[in-house]
This record gives sequence, C-alpha cells and structure tokens, in this order.
Amino acid sequence: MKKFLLISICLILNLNVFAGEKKQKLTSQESEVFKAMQTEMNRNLQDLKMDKFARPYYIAYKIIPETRYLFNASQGVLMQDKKTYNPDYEVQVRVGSPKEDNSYFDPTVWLPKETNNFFALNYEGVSKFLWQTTDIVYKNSLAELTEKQAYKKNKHIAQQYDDFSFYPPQEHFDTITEPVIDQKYWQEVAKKTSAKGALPEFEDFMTAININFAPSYFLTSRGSKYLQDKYSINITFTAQGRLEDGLEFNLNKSLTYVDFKDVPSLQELEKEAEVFAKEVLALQKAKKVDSYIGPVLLQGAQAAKLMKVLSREISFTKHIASNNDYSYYDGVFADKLGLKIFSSGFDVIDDPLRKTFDKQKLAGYYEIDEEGVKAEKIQVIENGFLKDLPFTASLTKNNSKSNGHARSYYGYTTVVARPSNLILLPHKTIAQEDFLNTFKKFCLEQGLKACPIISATDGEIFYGFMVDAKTGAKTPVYGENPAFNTRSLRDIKYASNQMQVYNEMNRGGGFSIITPDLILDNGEINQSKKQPARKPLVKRP
Amino acid sequence: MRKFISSTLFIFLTISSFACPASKEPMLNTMQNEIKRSMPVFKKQNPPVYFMSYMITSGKEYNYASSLGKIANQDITESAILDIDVRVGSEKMDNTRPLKGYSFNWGGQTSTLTLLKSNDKVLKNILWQATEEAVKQAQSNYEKVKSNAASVAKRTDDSDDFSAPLPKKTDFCAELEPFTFNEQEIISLINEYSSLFKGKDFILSSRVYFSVDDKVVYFVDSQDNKMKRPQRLMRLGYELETLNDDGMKLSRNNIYDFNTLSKMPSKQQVIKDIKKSIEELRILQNAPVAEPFHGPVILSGRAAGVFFHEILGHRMEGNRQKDDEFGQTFTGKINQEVISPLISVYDDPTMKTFNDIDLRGHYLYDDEAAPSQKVTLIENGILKNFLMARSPIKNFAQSNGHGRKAAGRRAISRMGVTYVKASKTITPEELKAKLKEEIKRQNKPYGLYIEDISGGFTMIDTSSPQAFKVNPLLVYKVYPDNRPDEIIRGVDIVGTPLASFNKIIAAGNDYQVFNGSCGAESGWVPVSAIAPSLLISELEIEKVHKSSAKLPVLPAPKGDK
Repeated sequence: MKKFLLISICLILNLNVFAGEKKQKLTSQESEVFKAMQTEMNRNLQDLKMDKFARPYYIAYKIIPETRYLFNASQGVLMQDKKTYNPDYEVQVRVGSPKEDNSYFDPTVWLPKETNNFFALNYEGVSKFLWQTTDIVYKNSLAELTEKQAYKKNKHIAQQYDDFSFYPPQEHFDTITEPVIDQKYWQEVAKKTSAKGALPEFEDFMTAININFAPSYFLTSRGSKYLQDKYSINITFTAQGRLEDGLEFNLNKSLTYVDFKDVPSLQELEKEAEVFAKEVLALQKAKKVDSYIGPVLLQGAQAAKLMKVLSREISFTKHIASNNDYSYYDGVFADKLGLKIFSSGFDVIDDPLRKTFDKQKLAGYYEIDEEGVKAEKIQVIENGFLKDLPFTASLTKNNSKSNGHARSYYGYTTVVARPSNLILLPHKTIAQEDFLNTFKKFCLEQGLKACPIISATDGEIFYGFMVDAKTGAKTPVYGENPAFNTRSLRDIKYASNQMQVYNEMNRGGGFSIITPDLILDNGEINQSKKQPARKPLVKRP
Repeated sequence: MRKFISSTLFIFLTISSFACPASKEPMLNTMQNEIKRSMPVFKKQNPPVYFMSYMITSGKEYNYASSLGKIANQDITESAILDIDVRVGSEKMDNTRPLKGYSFNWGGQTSTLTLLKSNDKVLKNILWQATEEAVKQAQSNYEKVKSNAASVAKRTDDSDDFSAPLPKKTDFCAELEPFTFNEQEIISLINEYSSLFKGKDFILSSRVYFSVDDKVVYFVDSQDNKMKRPQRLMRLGYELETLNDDGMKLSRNNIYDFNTLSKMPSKQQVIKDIKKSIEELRILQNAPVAEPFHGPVILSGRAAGVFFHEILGHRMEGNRQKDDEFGQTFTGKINQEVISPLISVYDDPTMKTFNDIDLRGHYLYDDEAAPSQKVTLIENGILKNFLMARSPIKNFAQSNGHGRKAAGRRAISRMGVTYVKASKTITPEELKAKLKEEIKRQNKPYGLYIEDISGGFTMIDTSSPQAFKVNPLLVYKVYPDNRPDEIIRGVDIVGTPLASFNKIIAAGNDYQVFNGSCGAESGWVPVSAIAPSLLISELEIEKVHKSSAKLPVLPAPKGDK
C-alpha cells in the first residue's frame, strides 16, 4: 500500500504527458483556476488523512462556470428573458485501493449535498471551495467504503475485478471563447419564430431558446487535464391545440446546435417554425388509429428515439445491487457482447473524437473522458452483432481496459460508461426520395392496405399518418405511443440515405445520434385510451 | 406542522398615483374586457363561477452575488406571471374552503407565464386558455368541498367563504420612474466588499449580494376593482459563516433595504459593518456554548420585532380564527387582556418609513385590491381586532386591506408593517439596569441580552404544540455585577405565546426596524416590524441543533497565489 501511494503521488507531480494535443497558452484566469485545482489536489492527496484511515488514492476535479440565457415568446410577444451565471463542480475521491475502493455503492457521495456551488472563479475562491468539498467527499467516501465492504461480506460477494485502473495521462486545451450574446437579436428570434404559429388553429405557439456556455476545467491526480469549450443553443417550438375530436395536443420540435456557425439565420429559423406549424396543422385532423401490427416508418426525431434505446441499453456502471443503487441503471446489453442485438446489415459506431458530421458540430465530441482517459472510437454493432461497449476504468467481466467512455450523466452522480456520438451505418441505403415508395411496396408485400408513419410524439400519444399502400394517400392518425424497445432494434428493415444529426446537451455533457429515417418490419400500434378534454366554455377571443 | 419563517427584507416608491384611465392602461383593459366577456358564460355553468380575478405580476429581478472579490452568481430575469383566482359556488361556500383535515385549500388558483408587454390579441388568448383551465380546476375543487362539508361536523365559525364586495370599488393606478443603474459599478462595489473576506481562514463561506425586485402588479376582478401597483425593492447584504469544532454552524449577516440607489448605505458604513461582523464571528467561534436557561431577557428592538411578528402576528391573521385546524389562541378573546398592558400593537401598511428607514412591508392596496388600513390589534394589552383579507370571520365581515400573496398563490390575511408600541419607555441604560435588578430579584446567575435574530417559526395548528422558536444570532450573557457582558453561542428561544407576552415588564425608547420576508401559505411577502427593546421577566432558551459536520481535516488553503 505504501509503495502504491508513493508511486501515485510521484505521478501527480510529474506532469509529463504521454499523449494529447499540443498545449495552447492558457489565459491568466485559466492558469489561476488550474493552479488552484492542482495545488489543492496535491495538498489533499498528500495530507488529507483521518486517524486510522487511508489517504485518498485518486482525486479528480471538474469546475464548470456556466452562463445560461433563456428567451421565451408566445405568438410573437416576448414572455421571458433570463440570464444566469453559476459555477458548477464535480469532485471524485477514491479511497481504498484500485483493487477495491468506495466507488459505485452510494450514488450521492461525489456530489455532496452539504456544499453549495457558490464560489468565485479565482485562486482563493476555487481553493477554498475545493478544500471544503474534498474534505466532505473524502469523509463520505470513507463511510461508503466501509459500508460497501460490510455489505459485500454479508452477501458473500467476492471481488473479481479491480474497481479502478490507470492509463497514461492526457492533456487537451481548447481555446475558450465566451460567446457574445446579443440579447436583442435572440429576443427577435423568439418573437418572430413564435409569430409563425400565431394561427387560429392553435391555442398557443411558443418558442423557447436556451443558450448555455459551460467550459470545463478538469484535472485528475493521475496527471490528466483538460480545458473544454462547451456551449449549446437549443431552440424549441411548441404548438398547443386540439384535434378535431377534442383531444388536446402539445407538440414540439427541438433543434440543438453546439456551434453558433451551425445555427440557421433568423429567416431560416422562421422557415423552420413555419414548416413545423404546417406539419402540426396537417396532424390536427388526426383520427384515432385502428390497432395495427406490421411495417412502420419512423420519421426524423422518431428514428433518433429508437437509436436512444440502443444508447440506453449499452450504458452501465459497475455497481453492486443494493438498497443504494436506485440511481444506477444497467443497460440490458451490458452482458450481451457477441450476441445479435440489432438487425443484420447494420453497423453502429460510437466516436467521441468525431467533431462534425456533414459539417455540423457534434455535441458528443470530447478528447478525454471523466477519468482522464483518452477517448476512443468503438465499433458497437457489426452486422447486427454487439461487438464492443463503452467502458470506463472500473473493470468488469467484459471490460479489461477503459476505452475512454467514462462520462457524467444527468441524474447520475458518478461517471457512467455511455456513448457519445452514436452513428448508425447501414450497409445498404435507399435514396430519401424513394423511401416512401419502398415503404408502400413493403406494406403491400405484407398484404396490408395501409401502413403508419410515426412523425411526432406527445407523452403517451403518437401522431402520424396511415399511408395507402397503393395510392400513397396519407390519412393523419394518432394512437398510443409505441415506446419502441430492444426488440425493435432487430426489426429495422430499411434505412434512407439521408443521415440527420440529433444533438442533445445536458449537465453531464453532450450526446449525438446520427441516423436516417428507418422502416421497421414489425411494429405494433395500439389505440390511445386518452379521452378528449372538455371543450372550452367560452369562445376563443 | 406548519411553520412561518421570517428572514429579511425590501421597499417601494410611488411617484404618482391616479385612477386608471382606459386609454393609458391597455393591459388592465384587456384583462377587464376578458372577464366581462367570459363571466356571463361561467355564471350559467353548474356549478357556477361567481367571482374571478386576474393578477399579472410583471417585471425584472436583478440578483448579483460576489465572493472573495469576484462575482460568483448572477441572475437577471424579466418575466410576467398570470394568476387567476376563480371562485365557484357562492360566497356562502366556495371552492377555496379548506377541506376537513387540511388547513389550506391549495387548489383553484392557476399560475402561468404571460406577456411582458401588452398585446391585446395574444394576451386575450393567454387569458382565455388559462381561465378555461382554472375554471375546470375550481369546479372540481368545489365538488370536493361540497361533499366534504356534507360529511363532516359543522365548523365552529360558519362564516362565509368570501366577503361582500368592497364598500368602495378600487380604481388605483400608480407609476414609478423607469429603473436604471450601472451594472458594472454595482458589481465592482460588491466585489470590493467581498474582497474584505479574503485571507480570513476561519470563515468557511461568505458572500456579498445586491438585488433589485422591480415589478408592477396589474389586477382586475369581476366586481370592477382594478389596480396597477408598482413595487421596487432593493437590497444590499452580506453573510459569513463558519463551523465550530463541535459541529455548530455560526453566522453573521447584515442587510440594508432601500427604495432608491441614493439611499444605499455609504461605502464607509458597509466596510465598517463587515469588519465588525468578521470580528463578531471570530469571537462567536470561540465563545462558550449556552446552557438551557430560564430567566430575564432583553430583546433588542429588531429582535423584539421578529418576536412579535412570529409569535403574536401570525396568530392575529383572520383566516386562522375560523379554521378549526388552527390553535385559535386569541379567537375568543376580543376585548380581553392578552398581553402586558404596557404594550399596544398595530399593523399599518400605509407607513412608508420609520425614522427615515424605508419599510419593506408598506403598500397602499393589498393583493385583493382592498385599500390598506392601520389596524389596532392590541391596545394597552387588550385584543381589539384581527388582520383581515376577503375571507370573513365571525363579527368581522370585511377586509381591512391585509390580503397578501406571492405570485402563484391565493391571498390570505398577512402582516404588513407591524408596530409594537410601549405606553411607557425608558432609556437603554435604564433598561439594562432594570435587567440586572430582575436577575438579582429572581436570584439568577445572569440574564441575557439578545441583539440579533435571524428569524424563527411558530406552530399554530392543533396537531402540534402551540409553541414557537426564535433563532438568535448574537446573544450576550449579562451579569448582575460589574463583569462585562459575554458573547455565548448556540441559543434558541422557545416558549408558548400566552405565557411569554404577559411577562413584558419594561420597554426601551430605542425603536428599531426589522425588514424581512415572511413565508406562509400565500407565499413570501415583504414585511416590516418596528419595536422597542423589551425586558421580559422570564424567557426560556434551549441549545440549538448541531450538525454532525466536523471542521475540515486540513487547514484552510493559503489565500495567495
């Protein structure tokens, strides 16, 4: 143990890096923040020790000074304008040894409720905050390790794989450029796009714009360090109203960009809002769908939702099933390496190092993961078979080495093995302009007169069209949201050739899905049990 | 167990007020027209809507906080919230009546984001949509109230749920000059103040903040009341906190409320106060822990203000007199002596300032558009009246302008500016001498002087003890001989109201103002309390709850780079 600690401390102080990008010059504030993080980390690693307990053997700090802007408008009139600045943080402390440590037992340990995230982004502010927070996390971690060991003893759980493993340190520094937000311009965007849905057919049409600027300062006691530029622009249009049978709907379209260069112009966004309004207008005549089993076309974001099933089910943590594990989710594919979980003729890769797709910046891009490990591209699916999984430095039966996929995730308080830029690669695609004809033909082959396109969902309801297999005539319908599952991944029959990027940004970092529209050969559609609301007592003004 | 918590402060400045001309107030017009359009339809429903009001709270909040010389938090929000109060049934019984087993009916009021600037077409649409939802909820709640009323014992006070229309219709519009300020100057100022905490290793956390709440409330109802009431509250404050070896959290803070930037305290004053607070915290950290105690106590004017607000004020709120779930400490005691005859208590929201200090609890019209009134609650110890909103109680049929609420809540009777007045006062020195006499008379080793209080709470429902707790921040032991006063830590004042208020035996002539925010069922509202320092012959104190936290293992990091 003594030997290990000595080695570990030496590594911290030796900042030679084995890999990583060319270091750029940091600004004086960036240097000040990193210096405070490094000094406090060294001090804690060397001196933080309670009687009869060991020092931490690993510490990681992340500081995220986050600025948010929010603009809300309804039917052309501004409703809300908000700007906030608040620093956020993550502190990981591991006690015990890499063989067995405190990780993945109590999910609350690394984000202690005893601290508040209020600190100045200067040397003394960061030092003082990390000093107190590390202390709390260390004490919690000691308690967690004791409880974990006692629990394992009670349940006769043998330690088979190391709780943590080490990799060469990495460094990566983005040039941080705080975006200048022209609040008047964004107010105009909110107002003008929401005005596009100010139609008598809708009860309301709103635009919400969220702009987040959240650079990350990251440092581990193994010498990894990064400064990551991160911002996102989310524009969501929401249309509210009633179908002809009185059923209330609340449909939205969400666009997320991680580079201002990718954000369409005001005129283009107005067009987007207009197109969305027209799409919803077409759905407004929807009738209750008849129960159905057969081919289904997933359009746009609905195809991305299916790919999210794959994303969820290949994400996991190494944790012990206990009363504490409510925050952990193990994807069902975590133990299915080598099995056929996807349709034949499809590959899926996850590539955190990919910055753009078709010139659009991807939300899931990163160089170094949350354990300081170099990110790697992985082949998740090969011709339908599960080939590889995202792995962290916590070892398991299938995971003998991290592939740089340890990532924070909203709702989790510890890092999770999860994908970043998940890209569906069909071996064969159909031109987008022929995709509907392929669907009709496939429908006819199944002996069906009409088949559904799912184009939008609103909670428990889906909206779409039944397409006449012969004429191509579309009848708007709604039904129970089919909530596709892992089985549906094996039902993908056709993919179009038009790949679309779906970016998401949350507290734990970004995530992108790149997929075309998809046709499933065996979808199940049920009627909605939701009842229409009472009609308004007073006539709309 | 419900608690009412007071923290601290705010204010507003009315530049001009007038009746609301239709041409100048399009927002009010639209709101009023929409009520006029929809009420005839709603009245015909079963169950019918018999009253409806719209309130839009529109404006901008600025919040800046600095730590150790740098801005650490910023929140600037411009928004407008629409609250709709729909009453279904009749004045006799409506959807707002508390159900048996619940002391407050939370249903029936809907709140939604609305427009920042008037736009007739869009506002009408939002009002229409939100009103349909509110009516639906209120009708559903009314059915619950009806079925509950049929199945439970009759209420002790079976007064109506809503009063007759206000004796005089309200038509009030006021305006403030537009608010402007130099943001960078303010940030520099609070950065300068917060840098005074740099290098003070024993302080675990500290911050200096500045906030402005610049709002306008637009109100109309189906009884033709209307108002436009601006409100501008500004605050500068700081707080610093540490932890003792034994896990006790200790803090000092200071808050300055004002209604114009010109009344912001001078830099010299704030720096002096911060330095004093740092020193007080240093002393507190090493101060001896208080032992449970029962004996004579002086409450400073600020502390006495909080004491009266928490323990007496909430029990004077009208809605608590008719709800059988509440303790009703004073309900049947009109014209009886309830506290020391030395003391009279008023609540007078019409007061704007006291000794040139802006009063945060001032308003001219309440949140039900009733004009605010000075209410004599207690005269020379004798109970005279209650604080009334538009929910009548036995013998008190009308509002006296105390219906208050935060955005998103329904108004109930609340305090505004609570003024505790003594019929006979003495100087602070004489009061302290009297304390020493009392210590000797009671043969106690010491008495207490409570200089500062952070807040407190009182339990007023019948399911829990009708007790109170007040949390002092700065307490001195006062010895009967010539020994100097000694700071102690870890004190909470506890007791029951009837026993405590009869033990006031003297009052100082040093009236002080406590400006704060009070939280109750109708949300957080700005309040003020004015009181002299008071000598109470017997108060009980107990030890405070200590956290299980320990001081960090390592010493504080060095502040320099």
